Amino acid sequence: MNRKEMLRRLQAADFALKDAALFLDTHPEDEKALAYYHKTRAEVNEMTRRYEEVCGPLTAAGVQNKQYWDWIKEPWPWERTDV
Amino acid sequence: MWQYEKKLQFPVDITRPDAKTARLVLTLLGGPDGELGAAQRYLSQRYAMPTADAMALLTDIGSEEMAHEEILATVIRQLTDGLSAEELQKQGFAPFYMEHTGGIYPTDSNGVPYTVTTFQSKGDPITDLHEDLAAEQKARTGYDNALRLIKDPAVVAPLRFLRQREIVHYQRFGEALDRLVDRMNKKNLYAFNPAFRRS
Repeated sequence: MNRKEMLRRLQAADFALKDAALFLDTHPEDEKALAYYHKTRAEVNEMTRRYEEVCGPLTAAGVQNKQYWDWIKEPWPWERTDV
Repeated sequence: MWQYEKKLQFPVDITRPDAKTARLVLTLLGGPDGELGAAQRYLSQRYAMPTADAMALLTDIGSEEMAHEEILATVIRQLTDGLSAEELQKQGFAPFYMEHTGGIYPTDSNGVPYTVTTFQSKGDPITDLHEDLAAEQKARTGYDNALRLIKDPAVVAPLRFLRQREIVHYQRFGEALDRLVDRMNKKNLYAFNPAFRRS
């Protein structure tokens, strides 16, 4: 899987997580929604970990490199080279 | 506290610049019903909400609206990036170019700068949630109008996504209002401000 595909999958999963959170704000006791949220969150965590390992940090706190400040390295979302 | 994530909520990948379209999209970002105003509205209103779920919902939707600002700014940037000054002028973008060159600035499609006077934070959760329902509908109308004029699939895709989010947010705000009214004093028949009782 290349960088763009990895990011697409992460974007889709993260969006599902955010949308489920809104639903839970007004349905806090919905067990099906809660189960979906926890399942999706585990997936997002794993996909985020793998993406950052291969492609670089998604947040400044995700910088692992001790030699270089990787936060400035990869393109920003509005740059056309990649999304 | 917020943390920035270096990814868009919905992918944007526009390869055919078109400043005429960029001008239409401007108002969805910085117009009276745009994403900037939506974010400011919800993030201002949340403090006076009397219930935890309404505070959470306004925080979460307000934060999402900031991500929508970024999507639209990216659309405008990619629709104008690479065009010469002459091309921008031919495509009706010269007035914006004169003020902002290749930068992003929140205005409506006529160039009127964003103003906070387009929203209210009344400190009455019933009043504010009704404004929020209307705001989502106004924004959805804006996307409907844009989608009648814009045909490039690369621009249409993020606009359709953002339009759908207006509908989901409208639904969530309606539920939050219902939940709030359900928990109010049943003697408050006319739903007067349930968040400010100092007498």
